[in-house]
Amino acid sequence: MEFPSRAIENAVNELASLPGIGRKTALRLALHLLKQSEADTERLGTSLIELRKNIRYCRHCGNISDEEVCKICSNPRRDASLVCVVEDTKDVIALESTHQFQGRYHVLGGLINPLQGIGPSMLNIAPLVERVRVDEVKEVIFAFSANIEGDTTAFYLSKQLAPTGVHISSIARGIPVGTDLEFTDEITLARSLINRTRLATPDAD
Amino acid sequence: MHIQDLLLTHFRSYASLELAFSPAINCFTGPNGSGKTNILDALHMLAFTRGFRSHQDQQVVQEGESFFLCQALVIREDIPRRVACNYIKGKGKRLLINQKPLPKLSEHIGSLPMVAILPQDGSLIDGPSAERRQFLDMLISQYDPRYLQHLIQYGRLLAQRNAQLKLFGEQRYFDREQLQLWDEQLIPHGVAIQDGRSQFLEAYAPIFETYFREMVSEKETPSLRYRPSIEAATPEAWRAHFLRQEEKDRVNQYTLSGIHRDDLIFRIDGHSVRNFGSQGQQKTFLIALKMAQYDLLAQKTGLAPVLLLDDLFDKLDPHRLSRIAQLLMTRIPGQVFITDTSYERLSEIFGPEPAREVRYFAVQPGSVTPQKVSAGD
Repeated sequence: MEFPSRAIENAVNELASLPGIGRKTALRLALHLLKQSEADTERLGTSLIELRKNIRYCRHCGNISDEEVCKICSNPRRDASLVCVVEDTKDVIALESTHQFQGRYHVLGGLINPLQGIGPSMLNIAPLVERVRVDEVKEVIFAFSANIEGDTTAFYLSKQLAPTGVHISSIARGIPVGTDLEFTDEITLARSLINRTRLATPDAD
Repeated sequence: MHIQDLLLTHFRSYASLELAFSPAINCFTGPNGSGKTNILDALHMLAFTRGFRSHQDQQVVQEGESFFLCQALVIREDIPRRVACNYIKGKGKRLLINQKPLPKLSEHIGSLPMVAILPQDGSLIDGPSAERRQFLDMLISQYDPRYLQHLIQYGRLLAQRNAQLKLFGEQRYFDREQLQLWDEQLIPHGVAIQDGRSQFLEAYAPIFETYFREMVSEKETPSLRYRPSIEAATPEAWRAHFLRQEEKDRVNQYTLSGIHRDDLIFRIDGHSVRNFGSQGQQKTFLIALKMAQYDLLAQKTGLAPVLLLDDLFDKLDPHRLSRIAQLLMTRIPGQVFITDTSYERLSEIFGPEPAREVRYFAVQPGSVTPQKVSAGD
């Protein structure tokens, strides 16, 4: 691509380095910004600079936060004895939108994945173990993607947490709500059978 | 089950071809490069939605043309179905049953059971061990979908374990606990695959041996043995083995043991077929392996699969040839397609009054002419 201006070229290069954006989309975005008022573009620039400068990571859970301690961790109504461990901030957002969880979170910042060069030491694991040991945590819930990286991370964490004696559980894996049984793949179906839920227990005579 | 006719348009060397087959044995003879194998390739395409000569459909299209049509009338359990596999450049390939396109090509695979014995299958005997593992995995996966899942999971976990070993090498440190993280998950899959392979071979080896003995004189004793990389299919054996190999794995930055290092050992009278077998012995071994595969496929589907034999009879002595012909006439219930350079050779081994109908076709570049039919009983 040949650019009529150096400034456009620089902007396109920067925009195209973002995930999901190719060079053509980057050019469209750059040209769009030029058409907007200068104040609009400045507001976008400032918000990005502030994002970088002001955002912090919660001292307790590692989630993105404005303060030293995030809103969830500082909320006295959230149950501190229940900690849900997730890969990323986007998982916190997903779980929060269910309105089902009243405990607190712990964000690892990734999953163990040697193919991507990520080992346990690069993840937010030591603070989790410390948290469980010091705070009054009764149960730790793993909410990871259902793949081998998620399973491996869960396996590693259970080993690390075993000496603390805390209860460890994992979110259930099974058939998505609203899906027909016949269209469910065999692996999911097999796993659902193994992890079946008891609905009623006959009274013992 | 059999294929009644075949219609080709712009398919490899054929601008247009129309053939009616015998439900028993069909022989195509002609000089090298006349297009015999292209007919088998078309049949393979109808069974597996791709030819065996090339993985690119574009190369199947006759030179200078933009599409190919490949269709046949397949009679299965007395019900005729018109199966077509058509390809248009830029639009891709479609499989149609009675003019109705299938949404997914993969849905068709298995509905026209077929076993092909091709010259390139010789690598099963003398090629790298990966070829033999692939053959074994393909056979077992057909019967046990769980086996395939174990293979996929094992492959993913192995890639991570190897990446971990590489990471240790690059960063110049080692943590046994981190490596064992992968071992603990890999081992159940590895054990299941190893167990699946040895159980399968217990059933498969005797069938293979029967076929082999029927093709040779009693003097030759074949053996087909599974050689796993790890002594026993138990988690304990795997863990101990990994621990013993840890140093080597670290140095090589690669997992040196596991089901990805298994092999099949082929022997005749105790000698390796790969290193000491004559070309005839290697071919006989291959045919017996494939015949046993045919047997299992027939058992599984309850149908008589189609058998393709491409240019297989060269370098086999007359004694073996007549035994193979006997086998095709008495032991193979399904339709057979054979290519060979010599009409004389084939008409001699099947004889003037064969037990099953044998139809001969003379192949010349661009055309096929039906010749005589030797009626069966």
